[in-house]
Amino acid sequence: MEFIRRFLSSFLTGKGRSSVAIFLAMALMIGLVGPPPAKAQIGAIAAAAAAAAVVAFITNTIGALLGTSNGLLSDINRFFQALVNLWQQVVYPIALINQARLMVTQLIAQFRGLVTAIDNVSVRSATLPNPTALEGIMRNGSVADFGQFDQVFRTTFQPLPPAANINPGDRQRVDMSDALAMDTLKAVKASDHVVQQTLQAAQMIEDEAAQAAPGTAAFLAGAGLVAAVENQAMMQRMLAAELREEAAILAHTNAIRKRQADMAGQFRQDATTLFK
Amino acid sequence: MDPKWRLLHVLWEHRTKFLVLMLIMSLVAPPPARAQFGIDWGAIVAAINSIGSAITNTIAPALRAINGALGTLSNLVSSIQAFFTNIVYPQAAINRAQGLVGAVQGLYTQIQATSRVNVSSATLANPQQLEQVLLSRNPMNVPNVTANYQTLYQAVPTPRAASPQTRDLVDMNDAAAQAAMKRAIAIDAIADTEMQAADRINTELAQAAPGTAPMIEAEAAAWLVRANAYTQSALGDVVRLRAVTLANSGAQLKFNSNNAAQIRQNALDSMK
Repeated sequence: MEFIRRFLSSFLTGKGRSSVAIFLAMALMIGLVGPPPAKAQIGAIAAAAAAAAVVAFITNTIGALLGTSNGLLSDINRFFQALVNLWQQVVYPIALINQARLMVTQLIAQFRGLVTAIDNVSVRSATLPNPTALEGIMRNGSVADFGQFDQVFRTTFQPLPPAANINPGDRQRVDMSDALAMDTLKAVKASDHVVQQTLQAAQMIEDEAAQAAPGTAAFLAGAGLVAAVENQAMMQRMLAAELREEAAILAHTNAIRKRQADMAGQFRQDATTLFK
Repeated sequence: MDPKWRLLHVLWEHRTKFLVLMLIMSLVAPPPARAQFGIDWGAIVAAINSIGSAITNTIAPALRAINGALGTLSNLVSSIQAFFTNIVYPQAAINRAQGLVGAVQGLYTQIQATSRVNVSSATLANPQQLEQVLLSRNPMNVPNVTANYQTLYQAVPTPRAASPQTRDLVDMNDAAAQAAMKRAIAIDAIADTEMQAADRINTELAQAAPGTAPMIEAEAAAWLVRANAYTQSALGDVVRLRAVTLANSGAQLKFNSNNAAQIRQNALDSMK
């Protein structure tokens, strides 16, 4: 009894009383802040009801969603199948791809040699040595023999007369006419050279077309179009040369008229002087 | 000391700590759960079975159907990929086509060099000056044509030296000839520009993808149309010049016939 009495009295005095006070405060706070204890196990009836709810959810919601998804996938499948059919049977049928390649091969076999042979038909017609030499150089398609060309041209069409033999103005105009004629003939030699290279480009494009895929044909078409632009530029060069030549012919004819006017004036002057 | 009294003594010595520990444990420790009693195993198994049946009968067939559809879709996508990779856009053919574009460009680089080869041939000073201007391919030189032309081919005769009709004819012929020479310079410059544009397009084409090649092709087509127009324009200049030349020949016949008529008249007058 004595022990119990002393034990109880220790809670009411000194450090024991403080400890008890702190402890009670903490216990009160934990009791207020701490979560309530969870309820324990449910009953079997509740489990069956939950299972029924899950079954209903699976059947009515998940099942329905899966059915919808399945339907959508079938639609996508049909779309892709239609797309495959469109590409393989309408847009890029293998048979027509092969047919197009075969067409290129047949055109090469049928026409390339023929057109080359026609282009190579000789049209040289000169009979005497100097014209024959000039004709040969004029038509050889070389741009490396212009010096020889100048010489042969002047041998056939005569060199510029010496200054003592011709009016200075006429001499210059003859030189200009010769020069533009020679310029044009040289430009034509260069053009013949370019024609051969252009034909080579066409052949390269055509050879590739015989093996092309539908997706690469645009490269070849583009290369062909660019080549055609370059060809147009070359044709313009030739037309410019022709313009210079025709202009020189007209200018020369006109200069003769001017000379005639000069000479007529001089004649009138001389006649007037004579009868004075 | 009796061990029992000694334990009590120790407890008494640490009574505060002991008490605090006991109280903390009693508050923190979870309350004893109420244990299940009377478990209905049959109901629980039936519930689980019903869920299993629902999964088996509803979800599994749907998933199998989706799986089948996805398999079909996968096959379709694979066949599309194979078709485009092997038939429409084979990499080897793409590489070859790009290589071809480069090869054609190389060829046209040579062609351009050939087209710019020097063809000048005049030997005297004045013809050389005019020829140099005419072959310059530089439109800035167009204004120089007139002076060089007149130096070489002379100016229009003075009114004292020629009749007004002759002067008109001479001036018109000079104008046509000079205009043609100026146009020749401009056309050469246009041709140079077209070749530069073609070069640029070709460079782009050699780097293009199959999907962008038609875009470059469209640009090339536009340039081709433009080049055709310039060629047509140049042809028009040639035709115009030839028409003037033809008119000049006709005018000469007309002059001759007028002169003959005048001579006849003069002869008749002298007989009077």
